[in-house]
Amino acid sequence: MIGLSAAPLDAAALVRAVQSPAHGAVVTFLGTTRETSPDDPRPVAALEYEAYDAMAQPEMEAIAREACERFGPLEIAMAHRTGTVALGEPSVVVVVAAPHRGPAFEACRYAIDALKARVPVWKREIYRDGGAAWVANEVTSQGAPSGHPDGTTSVSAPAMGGTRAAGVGGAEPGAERR
Amino acid sequence: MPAATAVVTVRVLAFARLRELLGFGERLVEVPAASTLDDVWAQVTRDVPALQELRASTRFARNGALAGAGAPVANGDEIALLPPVGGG
Repeated sequence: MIGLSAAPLDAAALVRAVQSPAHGAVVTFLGTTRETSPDDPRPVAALEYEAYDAMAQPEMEAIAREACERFGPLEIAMAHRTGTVALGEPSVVVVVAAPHRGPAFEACRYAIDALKARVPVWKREIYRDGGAAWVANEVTSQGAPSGHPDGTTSVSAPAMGGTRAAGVGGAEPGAERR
Repeated sequence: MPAATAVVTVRVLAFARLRELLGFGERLVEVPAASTLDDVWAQVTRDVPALQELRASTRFARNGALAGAGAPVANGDEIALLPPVGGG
């Protein structure tokens, strides 16, 4: 279960999808909608997400493969919301099941960081005063993109600590901020 | 046929802030043959000065894969203009 969803995310369903007797550890990450903005003093009322579906789906699948190559054997499920997400509701869920907790935690951390850096999804904060602003993620070294500027997409994992600037995440983390 | 009159048609997708500033999420655009992604950007943003400062943070995708600004476009390509992402 990997992909975008316009409907509320069901974390328990994702856990059921990856859990098995082969796995002694299941790590679940929920990214939930927060009432404060890192960039704006106004209280947040909701978040809206927009995605480039045709590219987001394969990018999420590539991240899942990378997590398996680095930390496997494991099973991974990832889902990201589109549309309006109410305060406190999950906008993203990553679940990793592995034989032991170490790889499960590491793979989950890898996947959410890579997702935030690379998957073509955009977030708009809707404020309680009726205003709104697009908010870009900080670019982290952990989430080095897999895409190459020549148009190919690498299936192999990017080097840890890599800082390739050609990713969808962009090289200017503050460019969308106001 | 003289090359100077040849055009190719590409489908341009714009997202998030770029979509709002451009006023479209999807549009068919004609550009001269042998144009690059940068040429497509220049053409669609020609009348929107506010977009020029966003060029440096914009990434391009051609047919679903990231591509450099110098990559050539072909007839029927899907060209996506991608602002810095904000998932999670």
